[in-house]
Amino acid sequence: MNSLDSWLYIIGIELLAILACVWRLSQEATIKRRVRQGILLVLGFMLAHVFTHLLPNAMACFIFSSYHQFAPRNLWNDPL
Amino acid sequence: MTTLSYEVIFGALAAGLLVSLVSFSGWFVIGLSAQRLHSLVPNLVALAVGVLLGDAFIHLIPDAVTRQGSVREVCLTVLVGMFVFFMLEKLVRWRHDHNTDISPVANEILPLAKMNLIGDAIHNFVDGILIAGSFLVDPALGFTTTIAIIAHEIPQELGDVGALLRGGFKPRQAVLFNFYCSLTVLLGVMFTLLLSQIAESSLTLLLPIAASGFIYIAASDLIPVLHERSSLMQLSSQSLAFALGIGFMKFIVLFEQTLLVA
Repeated sequence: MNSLDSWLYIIGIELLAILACVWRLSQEATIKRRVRQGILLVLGFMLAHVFTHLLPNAMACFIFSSYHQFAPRNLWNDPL
Repeated sequence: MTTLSYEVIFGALAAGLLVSLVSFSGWFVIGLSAQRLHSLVPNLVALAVGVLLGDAFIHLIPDAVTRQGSVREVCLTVLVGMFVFFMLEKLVRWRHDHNTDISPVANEILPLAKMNLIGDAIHNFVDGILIAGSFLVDPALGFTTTIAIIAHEIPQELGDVGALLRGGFKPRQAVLFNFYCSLTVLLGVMFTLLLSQIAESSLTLLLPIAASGFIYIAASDLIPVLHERSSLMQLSSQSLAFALGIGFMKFIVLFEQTLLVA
């Protein structure tokens, strides 16, 4: 996982922790519903990122790692 | 100053969110019984007084003097800040409060709680500027600054929750409103990332104003609350909490200096 992914995950986990705390503390139904939607949004974004970016990358690394010529490219830092 | 890399932007935002998350450290008050809470709140208020005054006198004002270079200018800004907070409290009382006593009646929030929220919001905004400013200089410095800020936030948040409870908030509300105020850290971070030069120079003004807010709230709103009960037991426990707050801030300042020098 490259550095940008790590940051996105750290921010995502922090957001989820904050939203979970607010959800637990607030007693108004409307706020609870909004916070629940926020949790789903953040979780959805993180899951979408896993399935569209991290998982295919990990699979490609696994499949091609037996080739000596293969060197995993850091997509964010290395120019194509 | 370095250019804005994603490491600086996301690092500063993550650090800001972490500081906001720390504001939930007063959560433990929710599980306490009303009787326990009643005996604990004066001690938390005493802790808040020690931490606020300690933060103002041994952390914020010396930092402002280092940046500004003139003790006279900083002291004048602190005085102006205290005058502004006095006016603000007068406005809060005039606009919303008919109860000028120091004991809240049912479902009423005392001005001391509102002033505490305003002061805390300004302080957190300053913290956001400091975090993002240090990330702009060097991400490693950003991490150490974040650790130092978290270390001084924890006792302060405990004291703030105590002050909010004393001001008429229910335990859940107190923790939640304290968290809402801590979100100004993110505003400070974004303000600095967008306008780094202005943010850096605004610290010479914002640091003494945050200090003046703390001195005003501690001296005019919180200390009178501590004089409500005057038994020997209260005197000893409140004095201990007060001294603990000052001692803790002194320790944090030393810890911060060691961390930033290393």
